[in-house]
Amino acid sequence: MTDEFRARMVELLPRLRRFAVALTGDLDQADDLVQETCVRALSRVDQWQPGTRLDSWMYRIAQNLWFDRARARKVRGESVELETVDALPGEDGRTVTESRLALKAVNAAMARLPAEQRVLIALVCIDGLTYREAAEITNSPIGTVMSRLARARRELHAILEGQPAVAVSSPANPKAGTDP
Amino acid sequence: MTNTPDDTPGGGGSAAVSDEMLMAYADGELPPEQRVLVRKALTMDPALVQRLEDFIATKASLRRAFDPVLNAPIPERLLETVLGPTQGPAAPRPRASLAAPLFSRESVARLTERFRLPLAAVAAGVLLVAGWQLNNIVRVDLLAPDGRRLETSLKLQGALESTVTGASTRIESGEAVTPTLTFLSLEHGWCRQFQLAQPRGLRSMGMACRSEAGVWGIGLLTPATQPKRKPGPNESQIEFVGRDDILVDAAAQHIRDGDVLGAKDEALKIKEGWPKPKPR
Repeated sequence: MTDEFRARMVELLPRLRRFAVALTGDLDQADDLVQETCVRALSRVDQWQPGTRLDSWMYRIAQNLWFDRARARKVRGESVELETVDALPGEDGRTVTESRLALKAVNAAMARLPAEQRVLIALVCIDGLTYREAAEITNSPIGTVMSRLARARRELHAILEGQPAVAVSSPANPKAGTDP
Repeated sequence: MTNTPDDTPGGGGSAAVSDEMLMAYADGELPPEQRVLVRKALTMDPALVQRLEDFIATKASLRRAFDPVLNAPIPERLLETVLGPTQGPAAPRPRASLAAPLFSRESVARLTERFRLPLAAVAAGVLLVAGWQLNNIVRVDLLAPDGRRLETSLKLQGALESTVTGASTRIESGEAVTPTLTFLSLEHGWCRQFQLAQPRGLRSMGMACRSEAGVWGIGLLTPATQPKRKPGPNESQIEFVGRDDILVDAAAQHIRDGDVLGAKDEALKIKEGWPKPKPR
């Protein structure tokens, strides 16, 4: 394994952490997930094809690990703790308070979304990937990505605004709305 | 999200605009022909405008809420998972209370000025290079206290100016500089990573960038450590693989614009005296 590979992994850590916080809603759990992701990536480095995107590959690993965990947690009936988001630093007191509140509120709203939708929110809305990139990471058709994402954003907006979400039908793209 | 009735009869109005289309419009992912359609529908339906604004606002809120995570320091355990444990008994990591005397106010100020680092970030152990947040990739404990001595060494300046990558030039008593990589930073000019071999087998890794005045300013210099010996496939070959190399590489990648210079181009720059880079 080359040093460059490790250096690129280090460069990715901030984004990977943000992705993991968006999934888990908890900084400690996010760091556990990132650590597990790195361990798995390092043990399977031979499966990564140079020339392809390292971020997409690592997001896919993180996503799969988190799906496994989420399934296990569901079986155990555990809920997600949101306490440790307080540990994040900020620039000044006001900003810190505002960003903690924002993160708590958004995390609480995110926690109500199905896992697949949460991944897409993290990839597209938070990390800024394109629909196509998100489709490749989640191994889903782009139409499914769009319909899930639109639904998730509608839902999030409704929760944050305290309104019930009402779906708008998709006459121009009925197939895209099909969500398994 | 405001619901919009879908029964607007005909006319290519809001009924023809699905949530997916509207979202793709908000995200700049809609093909041009559909953009025209959506734009036209937006002019006719204020409710559609509201739906569009909701998509935009939700995305903006999400980014704002999660961005602080990007700026949070990376925990040591994650760095160790990727890079392995800190190496080198010769340079134990300074404890917070002991770290300050290792770095004079002057050296921190110089570094701050060189790469325009906010002092608060330096104090927090997070350095910013050229506006890029390195998130603890490069930390104060990677700055050796003798950077200034080296910077004013004419021999070091000469070595960086004219030594090709891979070759070593002896500079001071028992010290030798070996450039390991040359690249261009649009912000900082020509930059070179180098290895500084010191007496007793100690080694530092550094990065210097050349000012327009022709001075190689040392941006980063790791404390001297005993490199880990890693026998290569041929026993006579010794490769040095260290955590500091990787961290300096990561820092370089953040300020690098374009490819690393090949041997031929590098030789040409040395011959021409490092001509001013052309703006892209």
